[in-house]
Amino acid sequence: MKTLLKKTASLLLTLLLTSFLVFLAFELIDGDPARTMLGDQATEQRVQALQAELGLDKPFFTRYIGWLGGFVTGDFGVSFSYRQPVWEILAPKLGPTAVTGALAFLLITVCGLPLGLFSAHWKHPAVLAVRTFFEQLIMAVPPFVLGIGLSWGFGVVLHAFTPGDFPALSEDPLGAVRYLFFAALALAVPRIAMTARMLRMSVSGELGRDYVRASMARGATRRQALTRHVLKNALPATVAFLAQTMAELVGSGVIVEQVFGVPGVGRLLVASIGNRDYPVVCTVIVMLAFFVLVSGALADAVNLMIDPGRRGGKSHA
Amino acid sequence: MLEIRNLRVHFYTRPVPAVDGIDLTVPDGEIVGLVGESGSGKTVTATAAAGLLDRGACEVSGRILLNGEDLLTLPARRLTALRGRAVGMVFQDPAAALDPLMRAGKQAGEALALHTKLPKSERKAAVLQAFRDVELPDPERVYNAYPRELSGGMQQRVMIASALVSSPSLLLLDEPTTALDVTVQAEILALLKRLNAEKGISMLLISHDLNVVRHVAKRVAVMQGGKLVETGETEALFRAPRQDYTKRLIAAAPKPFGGAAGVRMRGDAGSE
Repeated sequence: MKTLLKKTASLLLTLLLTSFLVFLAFELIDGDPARTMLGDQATEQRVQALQAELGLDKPFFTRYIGWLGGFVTGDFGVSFSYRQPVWEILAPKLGPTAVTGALAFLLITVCGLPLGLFSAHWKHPAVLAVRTFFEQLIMAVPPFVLGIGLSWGFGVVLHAFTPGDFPALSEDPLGAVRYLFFAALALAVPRIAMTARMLRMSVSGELGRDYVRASMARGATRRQALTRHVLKNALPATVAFLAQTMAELVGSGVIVEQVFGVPGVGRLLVASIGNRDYPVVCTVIVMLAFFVLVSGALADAVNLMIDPGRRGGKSHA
Repeated sequence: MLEIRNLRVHFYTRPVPAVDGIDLTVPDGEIVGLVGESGSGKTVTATAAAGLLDRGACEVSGRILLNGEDLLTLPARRLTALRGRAVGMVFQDPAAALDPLMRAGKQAGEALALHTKLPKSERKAAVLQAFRDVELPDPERVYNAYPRELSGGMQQRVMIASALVSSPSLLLLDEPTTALDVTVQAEILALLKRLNAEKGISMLLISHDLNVVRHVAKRVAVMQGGKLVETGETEALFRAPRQDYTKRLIAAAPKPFGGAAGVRMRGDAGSE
């Protein structure tokens, strides 16, 4: 209970700090929202009028506290460039981003974990060389390059989807998911290789330990030792890795959404940074930070369930 | 009875055989010591006797007869069954030999779970009995404890219990006291002696420390560079070692009851 309280407190503090830093960043970078919106031709008078309207004439801290006060009461503010409440702009973008991320994560676990276990048994030097080659190659390709390749291959050549023509999630859910599947694939493929590699290394590390020999001395076959002992011991590292993957999907998702033309949170974020639309940017960043922190906390909780002794602070690893 | 005949083990990755044609017998109900420095092939011998050699990594010849059955020619399935029932093995570092994520009781009962159809309640009763046999205090608590919640001595007792639970005829003890405190060492050795006397379990006791072997084993074999250099009754061998190597081993060993020296020796442990 005490741990939970402490965790929650540190989570909130991190979010507060994040929002402050984002706010500060806008103060420091060049570019004024009012000037950006009105363009080069606007008179100084009009710019000042708009600044006053948006509240930009007030000092930094007053603006931050005002924004924060709204945020914690559920009022995310009004977007500068769209002149609409942030929530109304953000809400329709959440679906495509969430679906893409979930699909990518599903692909990573469903393909990466079995592949990692399976490839742990390969011994032939030629097979190992091929494995290393493909692993390195796949991990080295950045998602946006892979995204362009997939758009071209599946979109232009095979017509599995029409790049740039995203069907609305509410009108054509199946078509939308099909479209997003390819974006998710671009996100997932390098991480499938990483996950497989990570699990394989963790499993083969555990396989060399004494407790495996001891279990085999009690009459377990290698396979039985693997399922009875090794998998559970290899799990905490894997869970932590998957949590980190979830966090990284957020970042790569922004880029992949650009490549595939998915109207998601990532594209909104990029556009809003360009417009110096900080009510939108702050809300999105704090939300993403919240997601990253929660996935980390979730991994901790799962690992605590696997290994209750961790609570004592002494880890076996 | 364990009979090793002209055993030779050559790992593909090493230039010389780890075990080079040894003959060793552990008669029923006896404790035989196997001593030698690190890398002399003691642990490989024990691993082979436990049927745990990775046959893909080495070339093996000779015979390892356990109660008349040759472990080296036995089909894999029979060998696995034999490992769980007829031989028990205890390792140097109990903290590493126990799965940190499995409760002690479940691990100690693993051989029964794998090789008998006993219901869970009877397995638990057998494990608790084994825990009492190895003089573990509060067996019920130990049963539900994770290895890290137990002291080194208790962990090693759990390991011994996990080997005893299936009533094997032979225990292979690979440096069973090396990782333990001196006082706990003495307790564990006394326990092994008692188990041997009461249950008639034969044991192959491997150690780099002659003193460990001297007080427990009736016979002792000295190993060097994969070969047996000397074999004999323990006391006779101590009084009149024939080989130079044995003499040097005896000279290098700390004097019995020389407490401080005994502690110092533990540092350079390491079985093969």
